[in-house]
Amino acid sequence: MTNTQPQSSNTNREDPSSPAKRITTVALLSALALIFSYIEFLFPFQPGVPGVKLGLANLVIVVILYRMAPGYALMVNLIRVLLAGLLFTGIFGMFYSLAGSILSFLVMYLLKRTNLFSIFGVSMAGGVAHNFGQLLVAIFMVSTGSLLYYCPILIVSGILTGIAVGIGAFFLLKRLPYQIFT
Amino acid sequence: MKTMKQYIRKADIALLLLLLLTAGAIWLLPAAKSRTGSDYVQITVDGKIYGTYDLHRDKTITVTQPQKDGTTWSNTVQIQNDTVTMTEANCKNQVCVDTGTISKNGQSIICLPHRLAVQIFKAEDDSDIDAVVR
Repeated sequence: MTNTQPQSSNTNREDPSSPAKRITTVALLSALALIFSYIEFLFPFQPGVPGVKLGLANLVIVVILYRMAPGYALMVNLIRVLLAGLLFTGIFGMFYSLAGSILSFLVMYLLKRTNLFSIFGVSMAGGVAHNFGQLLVAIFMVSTGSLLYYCPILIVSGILTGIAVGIGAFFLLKRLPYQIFT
Repeated sequence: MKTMKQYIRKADIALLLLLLLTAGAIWLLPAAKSRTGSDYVQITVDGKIYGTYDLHRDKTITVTQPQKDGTTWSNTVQIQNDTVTMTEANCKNQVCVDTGTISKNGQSIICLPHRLAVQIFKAEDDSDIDAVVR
């Protein structure tokens, strides 16, 4: 991706405050996250438990969170959820994802800021927060507290998927050249 | 993989344990267990709750209602092996006794002459209606 771009354009790319550049960056990353959502929609990884998903799109969010300003992660999150909701999951699914991804973003951002956690811990907390946000919406919509017994399953699955995403992001961050994020 | 291990921090492990503990605690909560633990049988007389009983604890309940004319209405409800049966009633039509055995959520035995109703409430809804939100 970087190789195709002529070196001379680097002078323009250096200005991080340019609105045009920010819009293009968010658009590109949103498209990438959307593709991950699409892949997951095509090949669902569902180990028999409803509501348990791998959350591939979170991979993009975690990578952004570790390389760019948090605003990018939030924007990409919102755009991805809106588009994926309209295209694949439907309006109700959109509400679930929206609550999950916003909560997940907030938790990951705050945990990362403490500088106490590695990317695995941050991503793990994000996975759990994602599930928890969705559960909150579910409780609100079905208006019953009996969904509480579903909590342990969601916490454990959030841990597992979160760690998986964290490992993926860890290797991605190692391999991806720093320049493509500037 | 060795390099990856070096990145793991103490706080990660602490958070992992905390989350697992939370999950375990909720799992053990009586409210969470309610899907198997708190199915209950409710007896109402004249629309008022007479008593609530555990569906999983075998018990025989006799409801007596003394009447002004000196007679006594009597119904005997038996809870056994997670099922409920009206074993005896001195009502006129015996519809309640003929209802037989009930065991599913929402099912009921009703004795109209004695204005008595027995109903099963299960925490886990195993009726044919599922809640689906998509």
